[in-house]
Amino acid sequence: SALRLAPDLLGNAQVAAAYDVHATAARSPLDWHDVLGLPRRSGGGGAALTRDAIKKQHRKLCLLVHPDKNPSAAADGAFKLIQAAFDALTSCPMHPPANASASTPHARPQTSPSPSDEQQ
Amino acid sequence: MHLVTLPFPLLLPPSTPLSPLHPTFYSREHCLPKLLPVLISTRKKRQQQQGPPKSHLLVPVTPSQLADSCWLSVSFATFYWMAAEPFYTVASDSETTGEDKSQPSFPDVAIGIDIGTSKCSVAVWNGHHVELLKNTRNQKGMRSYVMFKDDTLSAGVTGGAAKENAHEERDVLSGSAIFNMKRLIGRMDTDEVVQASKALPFLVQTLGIGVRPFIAALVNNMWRSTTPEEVLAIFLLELKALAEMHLKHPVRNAVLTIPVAFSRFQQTRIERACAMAGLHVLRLMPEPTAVALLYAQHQQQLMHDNMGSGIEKIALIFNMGAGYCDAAVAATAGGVSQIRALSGCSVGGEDILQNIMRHLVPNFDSLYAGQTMDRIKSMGLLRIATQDAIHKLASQDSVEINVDLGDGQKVSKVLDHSEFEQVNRVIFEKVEKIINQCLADAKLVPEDINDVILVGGCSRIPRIRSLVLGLCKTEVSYKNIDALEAAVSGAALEGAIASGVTDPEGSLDLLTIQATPMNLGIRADGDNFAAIIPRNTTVPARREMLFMTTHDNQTEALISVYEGEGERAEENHLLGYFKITGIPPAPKGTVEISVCMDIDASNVLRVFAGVVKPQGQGVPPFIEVRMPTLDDGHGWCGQALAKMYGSKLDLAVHPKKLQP
Repeated sequence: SALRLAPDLLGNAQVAAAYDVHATAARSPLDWHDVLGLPRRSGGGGAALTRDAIKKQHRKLCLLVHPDKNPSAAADGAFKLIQAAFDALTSCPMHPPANASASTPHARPQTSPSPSDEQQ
Repeated sequence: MHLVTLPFPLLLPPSTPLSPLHPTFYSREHCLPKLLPVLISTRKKRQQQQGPPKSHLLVPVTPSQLADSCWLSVSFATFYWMAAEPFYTVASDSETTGEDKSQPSFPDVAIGIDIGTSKCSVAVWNGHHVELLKNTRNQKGMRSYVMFKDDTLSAGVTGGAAKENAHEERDVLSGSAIFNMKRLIGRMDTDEVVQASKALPFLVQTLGIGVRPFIAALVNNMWRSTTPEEVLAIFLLELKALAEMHLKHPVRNAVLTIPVAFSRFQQTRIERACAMAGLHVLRLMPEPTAVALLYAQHQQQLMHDNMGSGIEKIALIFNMGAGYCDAAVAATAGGVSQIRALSGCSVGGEDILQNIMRHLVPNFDSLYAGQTMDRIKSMGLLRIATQDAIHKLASQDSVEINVDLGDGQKVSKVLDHSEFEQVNRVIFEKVEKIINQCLADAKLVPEDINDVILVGGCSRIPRIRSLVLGLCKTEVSYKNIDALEAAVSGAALEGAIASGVTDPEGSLDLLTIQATPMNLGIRADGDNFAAIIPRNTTVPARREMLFMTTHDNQTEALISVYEGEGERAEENHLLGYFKITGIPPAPKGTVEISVCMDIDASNVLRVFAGVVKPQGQGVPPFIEVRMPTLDDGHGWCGQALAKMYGSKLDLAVHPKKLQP
């Protein structure tokens, strides 16, 4: 997507990371694994992600997109999204990704405000 | 002082939008066009008289400069001018930008301030590590008080400017000094903490009707009125001057630590006091979360030295000072400290002190009912003796108290640990309660805790230490943290991080992920409280909840926003309220209203509300309200609303689940 190309243009990894989170969350179908940048599980056969691995990746993203660390306007929304993703993945680790997106149909409008929205 | 001629905000009634007491003052759109002409004219005048426009920032406003009777209006006009400066610089005025470029650039790192009930300290990130600043008397922890004298005001930062006039504790207790403002700020006169503050040497007058208490200091045998915000502002101004003296450049931004138990209303009061002192609040951090950040730094350091394992560590942080006590559970790994749970209450060393004073002098309340000069003096003596005894009890088995209170009243007593613990039993029970609640909220058992960090002055009390360590089933507390300097050091770290400072050595690759200390929600289902953002939710956060109308053809709905732990709305703090109007007429329960709450990284709470079903052109637009909207007398508002509208505008929680 266009936003994935943005990092080179902007030269700012933090801003890019924040928009990247928004971009993956706006994709359909929504997959929380993608939002956190975790490898998608292949059916039921792939190695299940450990809770620690999810935590580690979540922490890494927090350091990138938390508004304390990231001055971009998208940071606030991006942080809320990775938080939602983390909550969804850690509260029901056995949940298949397809169902995870179906069970939270309202999550998207409430957690993905546009950057301009945050500026008000 | 030339500023006095200006039509300055503080001198206007609170109802005008230009006044800083008006909520819109802080909103850029509203105040910029109105303030700009005033500010530019101020600046031009200053330039003509003083040369470079910002040079005044380096000159601390000394108490003696505030000597004349209109000191408040003069000095506060100056404070507000400084506070309003950020608004001013955003204007695309060529003159402004030109000037700013010529300014020597300095790293705009926010300073960290820990305003304690009893002691304050200030620290700053100096590029390599956190440095605590010392005052002229070589103190890092400065007594929090402001002394009111006939012609001068001086705060505990300098402690009386000259050495020969240095304030002694008995001067502080003479009625002329105001202290404990952190306990009084933003509280109504029905509050029990305010009631307990009547045993302080200065005047705390209450009417018991839910308005702010009247406080005053003794000046020349006269009670001169003031407010906790003013006292705090004067104190912060001295702290700011101290920091500017050390840093040799103006200080604008600050990170302040606050107790977990502080309501949002109290937070706005702290922000206002800072604005008066010309400080912009970058973050307000609950005290234990500041300590958590420092802990995260320690763990990172251990990692670098190849001594740590990098495994997630859980720390319980317990902080008890003179006015408040709080606990937090933080999960730390890789420099990120995530706050899992927070709890706190307004119990502290002051309560212990008062309990002991009442124990030593059984007729305390009747004896000190009237504040005459000799009573104030005698109470001061008792306070000093009691304080001293409590400090000694930290290292001794028993302590002998001998004090002559005058008027034939003498106290002569030996106090030991068991008696001390018996007298303060209720306090220890409360401490136990908040620790247990914190552990339960974090869904942890004592065995999960890796480190117990004890901070704050009261953590020196042996019973407190053994109680907290016992509850966490451990023998020793975490050692590498200074109990009195941890919170301010954490605030200075956060100040550097939130100011965007990076450290090539990676010692600032840290983050504290905050959580909300209290439930936030609205009144629904009659008098019940529906929590939309439950406590201990990670912030920034956005949550939404659906409600429905309770009457047929209901066209209006009242959204009353509350904060607190009570199940009934009225047990909580009312933050504000607004109406949704123009709801399309429909049978009850069929109209769906969404209420969304959003907290951003600066901890600003916004509430969005509107009709989501039916949809179409006939429904009113959503409303966005920044909370709290209430000012003084909010104790009354809930009752007034109930009396005026009853259940006419009520909403009920919609059974349809919106949250995952």
